[in-house]
Amino acid sequence: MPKAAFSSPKTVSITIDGVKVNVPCGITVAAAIMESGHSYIRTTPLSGQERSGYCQMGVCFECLTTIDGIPNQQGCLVKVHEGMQIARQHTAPVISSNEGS
Amino acid sequence: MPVYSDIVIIGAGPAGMSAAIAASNYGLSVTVLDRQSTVGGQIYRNVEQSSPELQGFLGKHYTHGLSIAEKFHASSAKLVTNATVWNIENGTVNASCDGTAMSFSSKHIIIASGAVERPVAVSGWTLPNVMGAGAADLLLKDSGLTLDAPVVIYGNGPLLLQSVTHLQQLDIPIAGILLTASYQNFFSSLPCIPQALMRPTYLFEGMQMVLKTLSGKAPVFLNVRNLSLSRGDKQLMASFSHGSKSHSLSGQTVLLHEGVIPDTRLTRLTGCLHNWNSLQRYWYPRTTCWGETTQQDVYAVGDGAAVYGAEAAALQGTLAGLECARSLKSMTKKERDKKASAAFRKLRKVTSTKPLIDTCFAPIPSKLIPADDAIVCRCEEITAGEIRRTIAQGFITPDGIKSQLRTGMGQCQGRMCEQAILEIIAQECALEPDCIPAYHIQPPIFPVSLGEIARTDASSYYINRKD
Repeated sequence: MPKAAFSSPKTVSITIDGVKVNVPCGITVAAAIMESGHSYIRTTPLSGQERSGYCQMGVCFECLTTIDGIPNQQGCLVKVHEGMQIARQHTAPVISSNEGS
Repeated sequence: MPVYSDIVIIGAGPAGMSAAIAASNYGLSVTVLDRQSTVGGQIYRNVEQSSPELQGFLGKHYTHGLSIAEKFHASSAKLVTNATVWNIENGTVNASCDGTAMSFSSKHIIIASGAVERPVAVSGWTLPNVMGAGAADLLLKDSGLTLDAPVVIYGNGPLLLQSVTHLQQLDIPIAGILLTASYQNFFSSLPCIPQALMRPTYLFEGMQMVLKTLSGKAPVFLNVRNLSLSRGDKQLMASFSHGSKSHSLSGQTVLLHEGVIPDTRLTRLTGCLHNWNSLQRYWYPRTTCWGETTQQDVYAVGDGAAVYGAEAAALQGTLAGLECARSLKSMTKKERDKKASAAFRKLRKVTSTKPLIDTCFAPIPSKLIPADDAIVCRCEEITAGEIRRTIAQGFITPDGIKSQLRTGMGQCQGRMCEQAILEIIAQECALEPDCIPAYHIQPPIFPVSLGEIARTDASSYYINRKD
């Protein structure tokens, strides 16, 4: 799994799929998932293929993640914060009707 | 009511920040919008937050971003981060800022949206741990993360060499370097060397990267064809043809790269006319030396206007900022020309290496065409074979294929499949891509919730309507 070679020695505590992990401060959600040893970030809505980030710059949308309850966030553009709850998305996420209201 | 400023700049990379510095120096109010949480764009990504060790590792080409950022923060320009621009209409820019709908109006819009890595659609490129070579560097800059080894590297381009150099310096094992370039690239670029001598240090650093790549421990293959990736027992398998032989390498990570291309979503959305770069095979907006596009009051600067690199991007940004100041009567034409002369002089120097780089690293068209079994549209999982069958039925434009197969209708909105589809049509129909109309770009250019669109201030539309 990818190593945090140049990351901050400080860590933040987050949960990924309900499991508590400590990751370096200031890294992105996509990086946090990879660094915690997960082999993929999401599965596709159509066929369930496993995917991980291709571009790391907000173009490919392969790192779509549910962050603090809001689905379809681009994990490579969001940095982790203390207590953040990340859920990897399996197939299509359910978007509630009052999302963002 | 939309937030008003004299100039709205989209993108806080070297071009956007430099434009903001130049324009705000002459008393203009400037708002800069960026999708990321910090300034720097991709080249200087996370530069203000990165660790001193990382800054030391990436060197002065990276930390130069700190001095631009410092000048930018000292200027009066207003920065809005986490702002995703999803529409520009009648001079109003709509953005989703941390999930809140915002609109911005201005007299001038400067698009500094930068470049993206050309997606390399080969069989198996959708597998986890396959990513762009530039993406690997972004992971390093933004999160300090290094990749799972061994690494297989495939493609062509200066960024690919930079990735190899970084891996070598970090002692990360490389299973193989598969270059799509041939000796022909090298010979064709020879006539461009005299002009490039205007930039001896750059040339020297480039040569060093090439030599380090070729002389490292990893095997190097030239003129590689037919790459296909698959999942092995515990590793990724990369199978390819080299000469008359077939080879196979395994690794934990595969990096793909075939150069970078301008992100033309916004310039296309605003209706700017574009030209085709037949060497590097990308569309770029037609601009004047001041960054003016064919649309009134819309400017395009930096790698989003044509890929010249960070130094040129900053200079182009400065020039556009000065021209905006002139056009808004903050300075006379004479003052503008006086201020611009140094930037033009430097620009001539930093662009002197462009013909050499473009020729030496020109992608080979036949190698950009995916095999039938390769997924081209990652979102809708459409293969090159399905696209070829649809072309055979008479759908010979990207939009025509989209109407049949849903290519480009997923969450990335065609960002990942467009180039490959263009190349497939060009091959199947024996056309140059400049004869093929690109995807029609329509708002919202990023996914945005319906609720947010509904909350966009409609009055801004009527206030700014010109007709």
